[in-house]
Amino acid sequence: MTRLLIASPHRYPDLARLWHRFVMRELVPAFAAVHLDVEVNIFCDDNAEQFEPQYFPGVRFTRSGPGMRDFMEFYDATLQAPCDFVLFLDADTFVLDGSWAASYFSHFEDQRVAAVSFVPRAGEPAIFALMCRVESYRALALPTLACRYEFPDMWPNGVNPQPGDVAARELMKAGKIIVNIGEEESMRHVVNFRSTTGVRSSREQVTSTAGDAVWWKMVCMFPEYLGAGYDNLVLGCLYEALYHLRFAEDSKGTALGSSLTVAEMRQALADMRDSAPLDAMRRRFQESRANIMRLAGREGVELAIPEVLREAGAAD
Amino acid sequence: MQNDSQNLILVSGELHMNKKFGPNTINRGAALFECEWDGGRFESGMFCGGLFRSGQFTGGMFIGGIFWGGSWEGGSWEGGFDRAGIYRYRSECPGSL
Repeated sequence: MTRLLIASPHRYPDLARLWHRFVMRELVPAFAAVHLDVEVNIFCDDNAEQFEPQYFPGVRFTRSGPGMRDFMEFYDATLQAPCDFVLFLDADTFVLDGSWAASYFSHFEDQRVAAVSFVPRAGEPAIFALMCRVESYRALALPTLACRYEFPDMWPNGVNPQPGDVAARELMKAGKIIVNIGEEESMRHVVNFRSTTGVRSSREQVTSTAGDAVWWKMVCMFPEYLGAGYDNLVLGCLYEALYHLRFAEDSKGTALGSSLTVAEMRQALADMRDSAPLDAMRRRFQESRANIMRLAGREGVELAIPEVLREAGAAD
Repeated sequence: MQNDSQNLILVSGELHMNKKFGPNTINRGAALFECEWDGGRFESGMFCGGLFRSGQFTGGMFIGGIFWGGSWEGGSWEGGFDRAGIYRYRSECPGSL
């Protein structure tokens, strides 16, 4: 029987529970229905002791260590796992329609097809949700899927391909095909949050090495942190509705304290004076709210999402 | 930042972006984003993105930058690129290449 491994690197067990919930309900049965032997693997990139197996039935865990020192190495190590296909699925990517995803498996009947990319980045294949024929990827040089910095002598004007980009380029050069699902179709079937793990790990790393003040300066300087923080806020609403537990709590038990709390979001937004970035943020938040409502609709729960921008406007 | 007679000393609480630091710089806790480090001593703090052209890295966190040259004497390698632009995994610090 053809074997499909659904694999994902995670740092945080709360997000992993949400991910697991959708994977087991949507993807596993849908791929099993097209006669695949499906296995699910979570790589604990950190906090391995917090991943309690009873909350993740049907999952095989791997921990960071030799041969899998971080999520980049996990990608390449997974290509060597005993399987025929791997579906890499980001920790904050949720496929709402498993049968839609599984329907693309038939494209592999064409031996030239090396992968199906379900979520593009700027119109190009990306690793957010990438189903790979491992035989094709194993033929490439190591490191295969890791990011790269090309023309480093030209820094800061070199090129920084993201994970999977160089592999995609090499495969296409060799005449292989990557089925690249466009954004419009993708968005109908997949909900993709962005950098929700990154904002949490950045907070950990920055505060531990440079202090809280630097972290706060970064939050105020880089709107991307607010966008990712808001994604965690809405994911937290869903998590609390489903499990009655706080999401992304810090060591003091404050909800979202390891990301950005509601109060921190409000303060950072209140400090933003230019209307253009605020408008961009408002659109980003609307997108996040629409996304979480789609997940909540699938779960049959109602969410109360705290307002973070209204208070900012009132402060003006 | 503090200046003694010979050195520029970066300290905790500072955040620097897109700057170049020369051989008389010592970092003692600042966060550097997309900076070029050329010859100083990085004792603690964070080097995120950027180019470590030369100098000594003795402590702190290196993440996402290019380690072009210099000596790695200690610290936490969270991931970054060698001078060929190849990604080196967590803990695969320049001394271990």
